[in-house]
Amino acid sequence: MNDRDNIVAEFLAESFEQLEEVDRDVLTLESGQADRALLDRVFRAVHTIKGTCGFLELGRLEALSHAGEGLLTLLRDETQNAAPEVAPLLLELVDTLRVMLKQIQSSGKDDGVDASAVVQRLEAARERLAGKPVSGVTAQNVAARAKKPRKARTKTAAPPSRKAASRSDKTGGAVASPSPPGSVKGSGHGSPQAPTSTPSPAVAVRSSADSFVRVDVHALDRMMDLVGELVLSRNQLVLAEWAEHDASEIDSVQRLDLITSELQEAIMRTRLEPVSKVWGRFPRLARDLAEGCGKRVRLEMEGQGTELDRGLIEAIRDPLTHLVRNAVDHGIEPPEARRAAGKPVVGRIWLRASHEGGHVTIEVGDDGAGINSGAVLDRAVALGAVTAKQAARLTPGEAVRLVFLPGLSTNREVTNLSGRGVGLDVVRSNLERVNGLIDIKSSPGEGTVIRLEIPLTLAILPALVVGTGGQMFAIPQASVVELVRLDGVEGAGVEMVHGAPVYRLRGRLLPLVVLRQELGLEPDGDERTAGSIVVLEVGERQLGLVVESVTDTQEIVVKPLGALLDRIPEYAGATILGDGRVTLILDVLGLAQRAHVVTEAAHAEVGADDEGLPQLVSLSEGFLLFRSPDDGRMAIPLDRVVRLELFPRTEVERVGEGFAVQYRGDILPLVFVFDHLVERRNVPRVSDSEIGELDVVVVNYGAHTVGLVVGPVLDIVEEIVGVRQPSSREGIVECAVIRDRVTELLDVDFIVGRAGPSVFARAAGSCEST
Amino acid sequence: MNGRRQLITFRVGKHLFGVDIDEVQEVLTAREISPVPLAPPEVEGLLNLRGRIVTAVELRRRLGLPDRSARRVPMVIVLRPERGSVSLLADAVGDVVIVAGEDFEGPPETLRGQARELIRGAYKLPHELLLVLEIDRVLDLTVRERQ
Repeated sequence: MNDRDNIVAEFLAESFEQLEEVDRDVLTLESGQADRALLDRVFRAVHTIKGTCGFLELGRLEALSHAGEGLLTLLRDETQNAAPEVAPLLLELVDTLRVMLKQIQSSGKDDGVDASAVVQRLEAARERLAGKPVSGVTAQNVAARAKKPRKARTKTAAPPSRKAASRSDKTGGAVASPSPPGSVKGSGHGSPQAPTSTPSPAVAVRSSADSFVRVDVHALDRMMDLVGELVLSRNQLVLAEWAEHDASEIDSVQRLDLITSELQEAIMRTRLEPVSKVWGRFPRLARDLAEGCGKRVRLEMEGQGTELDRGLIEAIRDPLTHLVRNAVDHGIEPPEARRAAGKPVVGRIWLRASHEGGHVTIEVGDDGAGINSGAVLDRAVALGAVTAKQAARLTPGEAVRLVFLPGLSTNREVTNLSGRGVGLDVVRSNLERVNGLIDIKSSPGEGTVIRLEIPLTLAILPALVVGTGGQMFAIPQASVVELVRLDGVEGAGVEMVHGAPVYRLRGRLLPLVVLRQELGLEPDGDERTAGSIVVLEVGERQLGLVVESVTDTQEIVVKPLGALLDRIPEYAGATILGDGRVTLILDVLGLAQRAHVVTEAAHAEVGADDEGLPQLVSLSEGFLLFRSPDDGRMAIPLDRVVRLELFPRTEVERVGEGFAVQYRGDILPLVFVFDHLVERRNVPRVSDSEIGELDVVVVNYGAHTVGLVVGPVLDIVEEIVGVRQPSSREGIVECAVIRDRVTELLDVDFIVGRAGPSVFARAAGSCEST
Repeated sequence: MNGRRQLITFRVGKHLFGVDIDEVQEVLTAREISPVPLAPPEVEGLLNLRGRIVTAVELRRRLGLPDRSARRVPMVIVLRPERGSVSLLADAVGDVVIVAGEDFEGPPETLRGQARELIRGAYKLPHELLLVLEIDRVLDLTVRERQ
């Protein structure tokens, strides 16, 4: 009940405001300056009232606004020049609407006012206008008749309402609440011709317009800025006081401290809005949708009072609408199917919001058919989003999560199969934009629950402050996975792939981005000084950001960059740090895109994540790309790659018929890949040239380590491979389209095997270099 | 350009410029300006104006003049918030002058280069010309010197 009251209060506040505008507009119409835009505006206002009262079950109000809307449609579309004549009638409409709204305000119902006479007159006017586009006489008659009751109303209604207002002023705040349940019902059943019958004189409720103030959001933002600055000044003062130990002053400073904190809190609260602001229209939406597809649905809502920053409220509006729509469209089964399954005929959809440890959690659930994970998997495999091998490793729960993949959820076929709607990938990316998370759980036959986790506020977020090139930058903590201490960029663990550094982190290759270089900053000193790698998560990928120092974490207030700078994708905004310095906030996605970073499978282990909201399973595969002698492209699966090395040709030693290099105190046999591929013998042999370097991919072959000599290494990519087909060529597993180019996938085992067991025999022996 | 207007005057290089006093929120001596890597060269950086983050446009670079010597501290002319939290860096700020419409004329023939693109015209003062900056064009970094 309470939630409905909130919606009603908001509806009333908005409607009163709009009617005031309509008043003005109708007066302009009356003066003969009708134009389409003005009529549009009046129409929209009345239409909005009609739309809202539909789901608030205010039948009379709806009937009245419906009649008004009918007349306005006609006026707007066909008989604009008749507007001045019907203006009085329109004013009567506005007045009657207002009387009804006031009645709703006091009693919560609209049944105290009989507007049937006005409705009749509106309809009569519409019929007349429809019959004869410009019928001056009749319209004037209408106008004349309409005028009387309007005047009557102003006389009768005004004095009591003024009294009511003054009384409410005296009785104080308690009466200011919009609609206390059980307050005196409007007694006004006046003469049928006077809709105008006065609202009950006993109504002692201040109109909504008095208890709500509409504030420009920019004004609130400015207040946030100022209070932030106040907090900083306060902090400095507090520090200074502690240093001086002046007891009397400490007292007043502490008071200032307290007040400042409370002020900050209060101003942040002004930006909060209940989720019901978004949910309000869902019952209607669900009902209409269900009707449209012959289903029966009951929508339950819990925790509508849960508050979020207004920016976030806007951000979750579309995703939530989408989820509710999906639940009705695809989740809930038709009545016959439900009956057959032994379920209640009326499907249940629920929305549940709650605060949970610094987050707001919103659940959208249904007791429908659930998602057929097998169907999703089959489809994913058919689309090439996962390989059959990967698919076999997925648990049903993980398989269901595949619906968040772009390729799948936009596909109608899988939608109908799986009982889940289109566009879930869009929902997911919308949420990620505001640092939110999404997860899905579904059991066939029992239903589906989608859980959203949203930060409380957009404006304040924890960030890691890092330094490079003599400047500080903030990185949103949500993107930070871990910190790795680095002993210089060329230190242990960092390997170079054609100038692009990668770091071997627990057996995975992490592409590195040197922040200083990306931003074009001057070196801070010795380039090889120790630094840190901030491991960042970008979508499903990871990258390591190399910085010189990591200072600390701070709660920062995100502020937009001005128009001159907001096109730089590397920045998400700016903030003012505790010491008052302006610091840029890095946009992790923008950085990754600038650096063209792509990584190997970020989540090699599938299914190790049942705690909290799990990562989406990574379906992409990693490849090491290199150029073949005929300028084609070849690739080695990244999970075969142990290391990448560059050896000067001068270090290559001949061992019997083969070659080897000394490597980490051992002998690394080399296999010249192109020598073992048919028709690919035109690559310069090592003996042909003594200069330059060899790209060597170190791989494991059984218990041995072998160096594959390949063409120039082009890139390390991570990709969901769509098109692939087996190859007939020996030494090539298959052909796949990677990075939009046809790429041959090397059969490592075949190549090494062909090079012969002698390779290892020799390696096992001692170094007999020639 | 009729009637009398109040202009805030400031120097950049050897030129005297003016902007309408209604465009300006306040003038202050430069404080710490945080540079923005990858930003257009005209953007000197960001500064903290009582909790508001204000972009600083270096007029010398905007006008195609050589950089100010590092020892000289620029003045910051903060524009009205409607301009979107932007400020202009000048060498020095002078008086507010009242100018009359009849003294206004188009950009002087002698003025060349980038500056010519960014001024609306000039007022003849007793000793020199006061060049009136066209703020819209100054802030539109796509407006560059015609080749």
